[in-house]
Amino acid sequence: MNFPPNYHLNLTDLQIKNHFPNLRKGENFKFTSLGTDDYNCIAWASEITDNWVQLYDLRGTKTDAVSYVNYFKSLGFDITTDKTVEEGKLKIAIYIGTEHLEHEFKHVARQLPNGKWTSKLGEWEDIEHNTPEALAGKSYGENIVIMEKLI
Amino acid sequence: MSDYIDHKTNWGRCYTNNSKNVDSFHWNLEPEHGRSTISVMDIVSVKKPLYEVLQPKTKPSNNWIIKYYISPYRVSELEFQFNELAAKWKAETGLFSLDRDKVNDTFLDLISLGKEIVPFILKDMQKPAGAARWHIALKALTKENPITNEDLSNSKLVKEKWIKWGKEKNII
Repeated sequence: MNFPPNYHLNLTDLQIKNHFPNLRKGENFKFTSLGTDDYNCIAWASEITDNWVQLYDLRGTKTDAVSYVNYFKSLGFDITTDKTVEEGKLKIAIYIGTEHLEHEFKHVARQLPNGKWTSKLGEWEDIEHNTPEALAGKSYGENIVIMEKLI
Repeated sequence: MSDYIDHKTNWGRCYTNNSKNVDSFHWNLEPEHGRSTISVMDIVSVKKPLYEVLQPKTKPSNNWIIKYYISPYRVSELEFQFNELAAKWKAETGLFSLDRDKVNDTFLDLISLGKEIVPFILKDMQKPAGAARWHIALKALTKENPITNEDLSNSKLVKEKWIKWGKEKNII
């Protein structure tokens, strides 16, 4: 993307080192937007750019992975093991952290028609990355569940 | 060439040795009267300070010429602490999409500074790149909550409602 004057990047070299050890600048990802808190990764999985989507219960924000898998099931997705790009199918990758006792939802990426993946990194930038594994690590977790739906 | 600061104009330059990108950083000075902060700007965003600080006092190792200025406004010890922790918190949790993931040790350190930091938070929310997700800290510090769960999906509204609350309380 062409950056406007006075831009500011949140995903700096230092942040890549701290959070995404598999990301390689100029090799396996590129920036596709600047940071914004208008939307998050869950919204971006559905191409929504004006909503910060979270699930809630009486205690506040839900964090368990099952709730988010079920949320995407309610949108028509089913779990698959095939992460290759297929015509007529939209695929997402859900990242699950196991830092605490329960499996926690950490992130979701959406597959693009070119087979690469697009991610909104919290309040930070959107990036296009070559594989789901490029974002795996201690921050987003090592476990990735692929889901797909017919489009 | 060496780094220098022109105290008349508050502008200065530092020269670094590496050739790739400039990582964000800042330095702290402790002049004779109070403590000043230096906001460092990268070569592209000349007018925009970089806020994240994970390795203070670490210079980027580039051939870039970094322009920076010393803010003429002296910050209190509390604001200085807030700025440090806020930058650290954003660097640690900005990548997460769930509010619960933003509650980490640094967040607790911020909260432990007490409700005197509420004006600094509201000021930060007014910046163009201000984080809407400050609402969890504001709720904890003020024991008030002008927003509903439905509002939480609209970051602009979250910021507007808290800033309005701050103005009504004469905090900002």
